[in-house]
Order: sequence, then structure tokens, then C-alpha cells
Amino acid sequence: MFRNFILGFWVGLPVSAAVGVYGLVMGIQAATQNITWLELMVKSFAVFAGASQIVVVEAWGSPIWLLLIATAAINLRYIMVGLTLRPILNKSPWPLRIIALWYAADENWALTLARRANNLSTGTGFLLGSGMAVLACWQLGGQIGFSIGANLPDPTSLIKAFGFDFAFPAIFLALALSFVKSSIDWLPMLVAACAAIGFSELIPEDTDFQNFYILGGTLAGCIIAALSFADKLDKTIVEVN
Amino acid sequence: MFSSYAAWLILGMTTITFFGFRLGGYLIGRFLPRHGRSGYVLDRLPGLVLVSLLAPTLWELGWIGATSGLIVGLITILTGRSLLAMLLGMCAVALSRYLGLV
Repeated sequence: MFRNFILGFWVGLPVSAAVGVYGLVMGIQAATQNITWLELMVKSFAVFAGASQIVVVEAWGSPIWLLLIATAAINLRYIMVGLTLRPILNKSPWPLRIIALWYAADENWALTLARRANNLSTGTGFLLGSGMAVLACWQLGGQIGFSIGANLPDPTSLIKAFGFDFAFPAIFLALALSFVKSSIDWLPMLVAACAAIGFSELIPEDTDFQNFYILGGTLAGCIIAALSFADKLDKTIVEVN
Repeated sequence: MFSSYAAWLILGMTTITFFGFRLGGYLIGRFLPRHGRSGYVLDRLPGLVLVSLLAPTLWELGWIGATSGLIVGLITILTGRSLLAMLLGMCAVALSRYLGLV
């Protein structure tokens, strides 16, 4: 368990470095929004959901109900994150399960599941270790950004110039490909991608429901995967005969 | 701006909401069989979530997103090294911007 934790922390560090860059942006935004250092620190420890934290900071001052709806819409996908973690956390004691679920961010979740696809010993320790790497970098980036505050003129341009905005799509793509086990897996992936693009184009950008494209794309992919399961069985029967 | 009380209320409520999603998903998993069609779909769920998350970003980046995505995909498939793929993909995007191609 402890060895897996250290391994998870070590393997998770490079991916977490990209998280730190986004933490930096969030910290800079927080400094301009009258959020206190303590509030930022507690928020990063307790909420631990990058995109929604950035939204909360950006929309600081809006009606509370609007903030909650907007951030909930962004994070609905975490229902699916929890769903997929069941086989990994199942045999751990409940307190560990709670902590691991708490610190299951996109990056360490994907990293853990991708590793587990090839190595079944990857479990709660790895998830927690990589989660701590993400948390450390997120906190560090946030605090540095908060200290620099408004002195940095345009952090978004800097991030774009170095290609950091491509870090997450790149690592997510690389991790997604590790879930492709046979040629039959490409079709659900392709349908999910097309549906997500379609939904993101159809849903107006200025609504709180913009991030529903993730759910839409995933559900479309799941339907195709469920249908292709029958094909897979048919092919297996033909091969056996 | 919020009063200190409202700020802490928001922090508390968002914390409960997000953890509720993760825990809720985990508990729902108890009722879904891990075999047959349901298990087959569940095994593919992480990949589908990731693809749905990143596809619109690549789409928005246009041809540079497609080219960099292709580089990432090829390196991942050929070498199995996701971090190398990420770094080279980032370099491709940065270089394209530096050269004014986008």
C-alpha cells in the first residue's frame, strides 16, 4: 500500500506539473477577486476540483445559487468517476475509500485506471499517491499565483505561448488510447468524440450547461459500446464454431 | 463581493456537492453488475469520459489540434509513453504558435 502510494506520487508528478500551471492561473485570478489566502487554501484542499474552482473564482460575487448550479454542471462527470473506481476501492477500509474518492481528480483517476488496465495490483495506494501529487502541485501553483497577484499582466498568453493549454488534452488523449483493447473499441470512442463536439457546438457558451457535452458524449459512446457488445459476442461465437 | 459568512457557505456547499457526486457514483456502482454487457460498458467508461472531455478542445484548436492530436496518438501507440506524447504534443502546439501558423 505504502509502496504503491509512493509510486503513485512519483508517476503522478509530471502530469501534476501541468495542474500546477492551472493552479497558478487560478491563484492569480483569486488575488484580483478579494478572496482571502485562507479561503483559497481551504477551497483547494476541500473542493479539489480544478475547473469548478476557476469558475467559482471568476464568478465570485454572482448569486450563490448560480455559482452552485454552474459548478455542479461542470462536475456532473464525477458521478462516472466514482462509478469506475468501485473495483479499485472495493477492498479498502471505508476511511481510505472516502479520502481516495475525495482526492480523485481527472488526472490521477485517469492515470490510475490506465495503469490498472495493464497491472491489476494498481489500487487505492496508487490513486491516493497520485492524488497527493496533484494536490501538492495545485496548492503550490495556487499559492504562487496568489502571491504574484495582479503583477503578472497576462498569464493566459504565457500559458498559450508554451503550449500548456494543450497539456490536458494531450495527456487525456494518451490515457484514453490506453483503454483501447481491440479494434471494436474504436467505434464507441469515435461516436463519443463526435457527440461531444456536436453538443459543445449546440449548447450556447454563455449558459451554465455548456459542460453537459461531456455527459452527452459519454452517454452516446456508452450506447454504442452496449450495442457493440452483441457484435463482440457474435464474433466470438463465429470464431468458436 | 461576498461577506465572509457567505464565502464559507459557498465553500461548504461546493465541497459537499462535489464529494456527493464522487460518492454517489461509487455507491451506484454497487447496483451495476461487473459482468456481461454492463461490465463491458463500465470497462470502457473511463476512455469514453476522457474522449468526450478532450474532443471539443481539439476541435476548437482546428488543424493544429488535429495534427498535435495525431502526434500524441502515434507516439502513445508506438512507444506506450504517455508523458513523452504529452510533451511532444505541447511542443508541436507551441512551435506552431511561435511560427505564426495559427
